[in-house]
Amino acid sequence: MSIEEDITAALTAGAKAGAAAASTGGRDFVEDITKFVVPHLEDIGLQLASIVTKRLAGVYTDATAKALIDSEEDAIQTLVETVTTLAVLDVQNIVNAIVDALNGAVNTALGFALLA
Amino acid sequence: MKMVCDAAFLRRRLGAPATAMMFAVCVLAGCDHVTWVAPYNADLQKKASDMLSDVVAWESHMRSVAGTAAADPRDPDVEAKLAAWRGDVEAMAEIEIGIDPGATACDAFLAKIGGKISDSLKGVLPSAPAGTMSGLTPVTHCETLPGIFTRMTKQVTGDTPENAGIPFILDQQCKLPWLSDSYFATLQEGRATAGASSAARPAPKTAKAGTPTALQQVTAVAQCRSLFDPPAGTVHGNLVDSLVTDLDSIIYREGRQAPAAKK
Repeated sequence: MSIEEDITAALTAGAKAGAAAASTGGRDFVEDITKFVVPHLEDIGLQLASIVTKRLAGVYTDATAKALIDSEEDAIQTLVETVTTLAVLDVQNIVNAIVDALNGAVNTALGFALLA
Repeated sequence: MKMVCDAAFLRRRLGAPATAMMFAVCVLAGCDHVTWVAPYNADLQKKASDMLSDVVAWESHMRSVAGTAAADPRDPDVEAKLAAWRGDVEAMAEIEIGIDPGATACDAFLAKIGGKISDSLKGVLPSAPAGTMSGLTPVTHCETLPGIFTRMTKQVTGDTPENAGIPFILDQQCKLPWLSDSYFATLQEGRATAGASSAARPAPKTAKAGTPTALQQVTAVAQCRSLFDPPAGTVHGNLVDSLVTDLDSIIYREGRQAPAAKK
């Protein structure tokens, strides 16, 4: 095979590795959302309803209700940041899978060490 | 890992067309592994887990003593617990700082990954200066969960309406009107001098507990316990739910990155 063909094969191998990682990462991300984020969001909804009910019943003061609602809004912020984190992690894993595949394939194809 | 991507060397060895293709490979394959999310930290995960266990146990305890002096925010044990959690949060924050120096290019990175991941890959890969990899600036970590420790600190220390956390809410719902501040100050001092032959000083008259009416007692229990009873379909009461969510998020993030052998 020519050098160009070897390099093309290396790029193809890297792309396939990336696609495989993306497939896995996509499934992982969906699972993250399903298993972690959605249940917590549902919980926050129930908590907010409970807070409002107790305020209307006179169990909570206005200040208490406001403070608790603020804390649940903070919890939503945490969940949003968690989703972002998990998305970044998945992309990180995809990139690294490509890098690993390319490094191995290129070294084999070229027959000399590119890694110093 | 570093790659030899010197243009002159490659042209001599491979020829011009192959050199051009090699630069593409160098850009992709010559980069070190990227680390945009702070790496797994077992210590952080354990601290978060331990604190979560403590929060859950405390919530159960407070549910059982709601409406009594033991649940009053002035009680020394309540104050000590919140102070301990403040220390735990600070310790976790320090670990996080040590492993996750903070975002620099993260905003741009996150904007790029919005949309299909496959279309965004090229845009988020580090770019290489022509001819050499040695001048690459490493991509720094994205600051994941950036505000979480600030929020957690507010939860365990916030005692004003403007900065309302658990201490403020306990003051609203669990402070007993028939017990004075002196009562708890005397209680604190008494514990400190337990076993001494005499008290450190005479207790002031205001330290004496008042006598609540039956209605006051019932109301006190209802108002305080409402913070700790989980709403239907949930696991935790209103007071600690947000703190639990924060701890769960830290534990989950670390768990996703934990080495497979240790999971």
